[in-house]
Amino acid sequence: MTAEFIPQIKDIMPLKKLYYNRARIGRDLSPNDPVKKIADEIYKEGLKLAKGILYHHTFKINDIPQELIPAKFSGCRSITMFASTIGSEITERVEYYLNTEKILQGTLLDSWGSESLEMLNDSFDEILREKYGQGTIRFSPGYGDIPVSRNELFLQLLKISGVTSNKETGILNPIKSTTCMIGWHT
Amino acid sequence: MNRNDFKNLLSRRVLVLDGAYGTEFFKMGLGDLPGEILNLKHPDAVYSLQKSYVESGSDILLTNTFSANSRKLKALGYETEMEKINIKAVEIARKASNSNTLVFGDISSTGEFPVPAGLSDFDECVAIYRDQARVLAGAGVDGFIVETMSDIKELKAALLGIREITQELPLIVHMTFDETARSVTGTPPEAFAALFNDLDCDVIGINCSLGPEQTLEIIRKISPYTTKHLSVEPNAGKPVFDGITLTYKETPEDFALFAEDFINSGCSIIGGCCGTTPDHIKLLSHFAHRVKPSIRPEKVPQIVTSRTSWAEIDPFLIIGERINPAGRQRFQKSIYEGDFKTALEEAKSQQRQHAQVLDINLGIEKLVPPEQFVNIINELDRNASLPLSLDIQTPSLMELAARNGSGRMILNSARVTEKNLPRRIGMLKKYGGMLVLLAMGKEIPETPEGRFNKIMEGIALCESEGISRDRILADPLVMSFGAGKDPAVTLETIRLLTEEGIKTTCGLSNLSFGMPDRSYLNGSFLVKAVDRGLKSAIMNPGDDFVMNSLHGALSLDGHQMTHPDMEVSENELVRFLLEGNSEKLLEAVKTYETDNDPVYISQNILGGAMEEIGILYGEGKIYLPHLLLASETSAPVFEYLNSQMTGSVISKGKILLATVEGDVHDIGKRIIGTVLKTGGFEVFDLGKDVSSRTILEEAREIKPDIIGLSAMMTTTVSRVQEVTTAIHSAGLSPMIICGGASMTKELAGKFGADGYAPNASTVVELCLELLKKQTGQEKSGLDNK
Repeated sequence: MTAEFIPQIKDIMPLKKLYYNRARIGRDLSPNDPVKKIADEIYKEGLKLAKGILYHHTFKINDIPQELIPAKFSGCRSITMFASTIGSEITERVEYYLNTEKILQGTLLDSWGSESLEMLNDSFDEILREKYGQGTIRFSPGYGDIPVSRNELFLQLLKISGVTSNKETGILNPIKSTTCMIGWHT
Repeated sequence: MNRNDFKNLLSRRVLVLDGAYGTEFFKMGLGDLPGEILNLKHPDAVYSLQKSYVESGSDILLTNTFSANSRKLKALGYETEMEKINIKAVEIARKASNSNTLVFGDISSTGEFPVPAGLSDFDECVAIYRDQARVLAGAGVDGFIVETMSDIKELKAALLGIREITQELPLIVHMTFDETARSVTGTPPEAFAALFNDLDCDVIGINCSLGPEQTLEIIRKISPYTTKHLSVEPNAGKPVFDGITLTYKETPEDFALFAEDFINSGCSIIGGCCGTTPDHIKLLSHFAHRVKPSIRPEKVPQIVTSRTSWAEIDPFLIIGERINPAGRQRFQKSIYEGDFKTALEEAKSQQRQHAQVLDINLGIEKLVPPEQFVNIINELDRNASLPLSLDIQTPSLMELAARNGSGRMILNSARVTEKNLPRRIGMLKKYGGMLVLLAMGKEIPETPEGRFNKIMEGIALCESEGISRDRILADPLVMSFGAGKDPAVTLETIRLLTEEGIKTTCGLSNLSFGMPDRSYLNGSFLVKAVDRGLKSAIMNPGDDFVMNSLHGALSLDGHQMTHPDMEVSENELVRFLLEGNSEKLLEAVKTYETDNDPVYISQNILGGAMEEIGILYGEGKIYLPHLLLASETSAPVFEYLNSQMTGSVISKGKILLATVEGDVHDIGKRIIGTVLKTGGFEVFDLGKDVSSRTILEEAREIKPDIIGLSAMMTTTVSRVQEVTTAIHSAGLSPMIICGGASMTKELAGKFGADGYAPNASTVVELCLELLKKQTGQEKSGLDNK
């Protein structure tokens, strides 16, 4: 049975340096620099719009279709599979900005959304490892030997509707969503 | 934890302080009691708050002893409980801690600034801090923090007091700045950073008054001028009152967002001040513990400072030589008698002539009473002087002056002898500053190499004692050309020292002593010396030829000197007011008497000049000490004008002032009173901690036009409403205005006040507007009494 992890606000707050890096903003901007002011405002807006949720289940290795198991996970006895999202509002707002010629705001919010989603994954990752030990790296379809198109199968396994995928491309919906897995040897 | 371990820890990880106490106690319904008294009466409440901070991730817990010094406790009626309160606070904090938590003794203002910003004796302040530190150290704190300090000299007193008790425990020192990036008493962050970078503390920082965004701007001004770790405790924004409770608008998320900015700007310690809660600290620590501290610089630019100004050594530092009674008998006599009028005039005129530092030489020191060395330092400080160079030969007198100064001064000078130099080094370590090191021991070496070697010998001794060579201004000794001394020796010494990276200064006027055409000789020598790398000179800034020669020489090297613009106004009266020159002000005012009556002069001419002062202050062109000085300067002249009016004294209106019940903060209200008096109002000050009943009774008696209420603390701010209700219920009709650190325009409105004055610069205008409204017409400032 897939469980839901509802993050606390801290679990979706990325470090500014990561957000700034992704948005290609220098770290040493003066507090009065207008770009920094806008970037920080966007951070706050992102926090208000984000609706973080993470669906997860830990499967025994034999219960997972072979085509979803990366070669790197060889020897694992179980795998935690999870799909995470910060919702569609961020993406809608990004589109609004881009459509109204507020390109800076749009790209900043998009960057923030990506880092916020990473932060959500990191937070859950930390919880898992505290519970199960070291485990493998965190892996997502689209990397290594698992094509992104397998997202559909991944989501079917979790039996969730909060995150869906395009059957052909594997692109997730909402856009700011990811699928991840961590393998456990013990 | 010893100081080295503490500093090493700060290099490795960011530590999180706790958050607010006062606002949290208020939420618990304990706002009626002074916070420190809760240690004895409600220890469980203190414990529970501190425990929640520890659980939220605080690495350093502050004892609940912010106002637990003997002077503050005396004002609250708890003086005899000082030891008990402090000991109990440490006990509670320890109990709330976990094994890794550090407990720091929390110390703040005594409530009365030392002279000259206040009336309190400096050494008495030191003793008060020493006493509190003794108790806290005895109770086992891991270190100290002195926070929310508005007066740089009081902070210096605190540091000296604590260090009299222990040199082993870490010490964090904080000042508080407002939106104009100045402390209430006019100190810029750069001056604070430079002075305390030298003094015996481990971390410097800021707290209170501002939210994180504005605090960050101040931190970025401090950071370049100190090698020390930085710490910060912003407020959770500005307070908002909903009619029942006072809250701060900055959410934990908004607040925590600044953690990385602070760390990138050099902070290794972050916490929260007014309005922050355990939730703020929890989120803050979530960020702070994931980021490594920035590396602090090993070297910083050298600046010299006074309370209100600072000057860089680069590209050239002009030290005005005119406060020196040599050859001026009347000046010397006035100094013996403690009359510093000439000295202050020289200070102001040299400032106008673009000196950046004032050399203080009181002549034959044996004849000058020691207290005058303190008095002149305080007088210059009170007059918002430039940074000082203490040209004092007797070590004990130099120490007196250094101890009582507010800035990072130049100690002028030391010879390289076993007796002379170590004593100056001791003063540098204790009081900070830069040292003029003479290129001589018992004798003056004849050759450039001999002088160079002597300086290097002195620098080696300084460095072995922890004084870096950056803090040395080497004096290659300018000798009298007329006495047959070869200036080439001095010039070559400058070149050798410059090559070694040593900054140099000199007493320029010695060159031409007893010679004709002194300006030409001095100016020409200065050009040659600058060419060889001279960085500073003690000289006469009033000598145009010399000054122009200097500027020419610097320009050819691609440097342009900038000067603080002292000519802030074309109005002569404004200039005299800012110079503190009552006599010239009176003289100038008298010239208007032939064509105008005293009422007109008082209201429009002198009153107009004072209004301009208020505007300049509001625009940030002058600072609070200037404003107060102008008020004091104008007082005798207003009195004179009043005495010239036939049978009546002019008053624009009666104003009753009081700090509300439970609040013992007095300074801001006194400042307001001074400004109002010189703005032509009749002021009745009821003092601090005044009950609404007393205010009501006095209002019935005095019948003021306006009542001004001050509330500094978040826990007492709602008393303003109590007073307005009492006044209105009694059917009295004075207008009510309020101000204070925790007050806002919105709150004032909600409390039923008619006006809000955010600072002293706006209060006169506010009162005039209210009176206009009250009478329905302009009163033309006339109320005969």
